[in-house]
Amino acid sequence: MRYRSIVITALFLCVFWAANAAAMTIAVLPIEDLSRGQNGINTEITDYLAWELNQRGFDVIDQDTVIDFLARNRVRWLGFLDTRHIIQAREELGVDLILFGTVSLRQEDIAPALGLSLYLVRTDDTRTLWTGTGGISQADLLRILDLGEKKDVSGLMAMLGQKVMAKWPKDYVFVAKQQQALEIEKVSLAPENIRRGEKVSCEVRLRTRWSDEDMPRIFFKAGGRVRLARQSKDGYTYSSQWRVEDRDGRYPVTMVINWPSGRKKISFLGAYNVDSSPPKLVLELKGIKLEGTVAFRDKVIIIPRMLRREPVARWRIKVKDENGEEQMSYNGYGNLPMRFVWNGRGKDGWPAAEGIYHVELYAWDRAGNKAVATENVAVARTPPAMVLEAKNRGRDMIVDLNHEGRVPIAFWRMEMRTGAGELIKVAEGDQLPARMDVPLSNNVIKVAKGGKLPKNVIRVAKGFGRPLQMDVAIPRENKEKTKLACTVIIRDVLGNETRKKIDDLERFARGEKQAEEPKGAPPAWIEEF
Amino acid sequence: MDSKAGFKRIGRWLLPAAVIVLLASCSFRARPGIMKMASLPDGGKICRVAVLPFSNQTRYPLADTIFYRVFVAELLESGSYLVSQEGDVRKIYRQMRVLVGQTPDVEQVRSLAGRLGAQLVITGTVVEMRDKTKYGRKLDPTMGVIVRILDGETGRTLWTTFVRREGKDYRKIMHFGVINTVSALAKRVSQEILAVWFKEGLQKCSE
Repeated sequence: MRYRSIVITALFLCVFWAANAAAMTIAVLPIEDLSRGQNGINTEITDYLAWELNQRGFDVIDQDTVIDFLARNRVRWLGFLDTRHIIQAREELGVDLILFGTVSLRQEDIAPALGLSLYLVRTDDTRTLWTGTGGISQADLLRILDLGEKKDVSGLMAMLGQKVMAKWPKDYVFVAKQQQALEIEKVSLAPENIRRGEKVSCEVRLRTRWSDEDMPRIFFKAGGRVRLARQSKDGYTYSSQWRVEDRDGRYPVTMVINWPSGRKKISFLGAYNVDSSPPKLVLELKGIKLEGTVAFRDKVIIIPRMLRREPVARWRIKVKDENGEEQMSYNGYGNLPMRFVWNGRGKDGWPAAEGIYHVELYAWDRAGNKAVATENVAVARTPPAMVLEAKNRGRDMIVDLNHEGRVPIAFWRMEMRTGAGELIKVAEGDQLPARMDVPLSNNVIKVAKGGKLPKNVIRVAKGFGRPLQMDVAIPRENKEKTKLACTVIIRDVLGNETRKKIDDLERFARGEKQAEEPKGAPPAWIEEF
Repeated sequence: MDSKAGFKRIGRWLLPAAVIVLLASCSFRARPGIMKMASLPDGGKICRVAVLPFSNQTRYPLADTIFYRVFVAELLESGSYLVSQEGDVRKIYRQMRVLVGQTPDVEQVRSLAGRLGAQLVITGTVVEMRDKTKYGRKLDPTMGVIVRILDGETGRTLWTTFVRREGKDYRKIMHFGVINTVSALAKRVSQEILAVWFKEGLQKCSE
């Protein structure tokens, strides 16, 4: 009799459990497959799990409905869920449980292997009820002496599924002694960086709502002061605003909850920075400084330097001429670039006229404090004015070279050539004025030191055992061939260059104007070859 | 006659001793190393835990996610903890503009724990993971992880645990006991870490 009653009770419990399970509706989310990348899905295992749960008596939601739900709610990632989506699944799909998981391993090359983690979540309270993990490999199935049935990955799937779900829960009541915890759905504390005198607002949305008897008073505490939070109509959201009057610094904000029972809870929400001082900024211009102003010809490098480093939210740089007209401007977000380069061109793309320009850099920190740094820069494109004088002193031609202008000279070079292009003398330097003495071959008589006589030297006497050789000008048939040509180049430190070519230095010394250099012939069409 | 008895006596002791030595040498594993910087809050009576995404310092693709999922599953399995949903943690990460794999600062940990109501925050780093030998000819799962317990209220690190395991470490005799998959190894590693934590003072939520 006693045995019979035990059997009947057991049967009743089995039927009750089966009925309970049958009443449960479950959604099996597509199983994430990490072996196929972060967005991989394993439909085979998903289908297998759905079939298996169906066999166990669950009412399984079909996959198309689940996928529609995921698409509708923009669930972009599989393998995990957040509380909001779990609640939505309960409301939209009417499910009691959700099963999701991850294929952590899937390989087929050496020995087929499969790894799986599963999570079962109850939608009532969004708690994870059960988890199961496991891995299986072909190598695990081999018995002694390498005997055993070989399987591929699909053959392993069912085995792994059974292995992982071996401890599937018998009931769905969560066993943990859970204390009533405070869960915050959303915190909005803005702005994060603020100036003194501005308002900061804090809003907290909770997941729990208390009964009127147990309704707590909620405060926000910041900078040593406590503000009562205002409850929204739905009872879930608490908000407050206050004007910041504190000194610069970082201020943590906490939420203080006081229940009528005397229980108190403090929860950290976040922090805000009070920053009322603008960034300290200077400009450094890389270039040649002339009379206190950096001057340039092609481009100028502008380096912004922060005297006290702090993050910059946005910036703007402008170059204005003396009339205040904007020639160039750039702006950007985030930290300042390492350097700016201005190529000396205006907004229209043409080179800016010579003169003084104002470079202005504005930078705003995260709290909106504005810093300005200005510097003047000069555009100087005038080539150095060359002063060249030549004097014929009988045997020598003396050439004096100088320049006029405020920009120092970087270098100069003077070349003397014969009319035939033969180089006679070269002189160069970085200081002006300079003088060069050029012997005129037509007028010079000089003593040669022996050896083979050059063409224009004749032996004029013999005596004292050593021939006296004198360099005597041999009158040329064509005097034009003996003329001296001179080329002078002067470059200043900014790169401006002046080049002058004198075809006949003797005529130049006499003050005669030389014929103007013919301008380049117009391009001619060349017949097809 | 005496010599035969002597051999029998020696054999009687030698054989079991050899078996014991063989088995012991095959299955010996050092306990996961734990460094305790401070004691657990509430005397170790913890129920609500948030597990932050782990970081991956290996070349094994998604090693952090693989170990994370297995570890969370084992944590839930072992102690009936109320572990925050991964989606909630990632949502707060997005709101705080913290990238997954990036370590949040102390204030962010405090804020995150406060929002999820978590007493403890667990985070970790996978420093080594592979599933095959160097030339890929044999299965040889290997794993090294560092798992940290942070205080949800202060954000500071309380405990740090390091463990490195190979599938061969679990060999009992011949090929029996050897772990051949990264997933199974991650499960065993997670179980060992949790076992050490329980031994050192962490209490199960249901206790």
